Amino acid sequence: MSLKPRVLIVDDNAANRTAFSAVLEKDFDVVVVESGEAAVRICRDQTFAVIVLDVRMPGMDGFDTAEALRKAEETRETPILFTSAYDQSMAQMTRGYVAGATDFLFSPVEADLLKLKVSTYAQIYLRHEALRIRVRQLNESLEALHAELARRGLASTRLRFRIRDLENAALELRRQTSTVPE
Amino acid sequence: MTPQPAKPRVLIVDDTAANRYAFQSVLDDDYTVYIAGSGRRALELARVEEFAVILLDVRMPEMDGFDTAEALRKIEKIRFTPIIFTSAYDKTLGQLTRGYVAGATDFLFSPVDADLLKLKVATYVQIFLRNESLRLQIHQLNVTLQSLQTELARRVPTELGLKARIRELEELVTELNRQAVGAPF
Repeated sequence: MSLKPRVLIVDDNAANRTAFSAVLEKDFDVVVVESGEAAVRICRDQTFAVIVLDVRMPGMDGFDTAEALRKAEETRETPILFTSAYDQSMAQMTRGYVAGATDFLFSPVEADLLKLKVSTYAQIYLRHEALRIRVRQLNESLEALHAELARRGLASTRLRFRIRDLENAALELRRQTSTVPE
Repeated sequence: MTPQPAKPRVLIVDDTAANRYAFQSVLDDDYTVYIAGSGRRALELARVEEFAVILLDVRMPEMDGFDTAEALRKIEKIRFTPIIFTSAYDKTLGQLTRGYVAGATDFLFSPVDADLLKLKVATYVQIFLRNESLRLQIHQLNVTLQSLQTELARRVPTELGLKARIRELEELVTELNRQAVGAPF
């Protein structure tokens, strides 16, 4: 696993892809795709800390893509940052949030703002991911402890059986010695 | 850790009464709204109550939003709380960067759109609650783990006791066997 958080850029515009990559490459492990379909596909077997998603694309647009990503287990909680040349109309924003956007960036996208936003969301994602890993580890420890307790329970039972057998044997021997014919 | 109520706690920090009322009226339906008229008051509240989101005015007399955010970030209870700066400032990058460095999670610019305010707060409350539920899970798992470890530690002496008893009995049986064999017929 790379040390830099992974960021997926989804944009049908080559100039945007190049510009965004250039801004983010230093701090993030950047992967670029050209369509919503490709984004959904790549997210099936790769995880990302942040997805930068263009709203207006041919085929699956940003909204469709966000909806599809939100339905998949792997990307249910990945922050999605919409980039859009659209004017900041409330209807668009609302639709975006409903589709699963975490935030919006409007064109022309300011390089520093893009960096700040992606860093903030990557941090949120990584913090949650660390907590999820901790939960998984704790569950594993619990399972191991349960197994250990069960194993010891069994061992104790075996010891108790042995004690009972020995007690019986001792009793039997006592009876024999006391009834030995004179 | 005090889990958020059904209507999560949101803190509004603004020195302008009109803003406080405007934000409160937008958020009142869905959140338990707390109000602070100054950075100092915000810090007082943040020491007693855990908030799902804090809306923080940038420009305030005495402690401004940046100072307040920095001080808030030092409070344990506020470590995971998203802080949204509300600002009448222009969106200069210098301001934004300073805000992010101080601990801002996001910005809302005046005039604050009611719907956008609602959407932003909802998004960040959701992020906070997800984080909180993971932390609660971890807490509970740790409690269970500890009780199991105690249980395990308690069993070791029991096992040792059983083993000692077995040794005793084995010696006794050997001794009795010797006696039985050695007994005159």
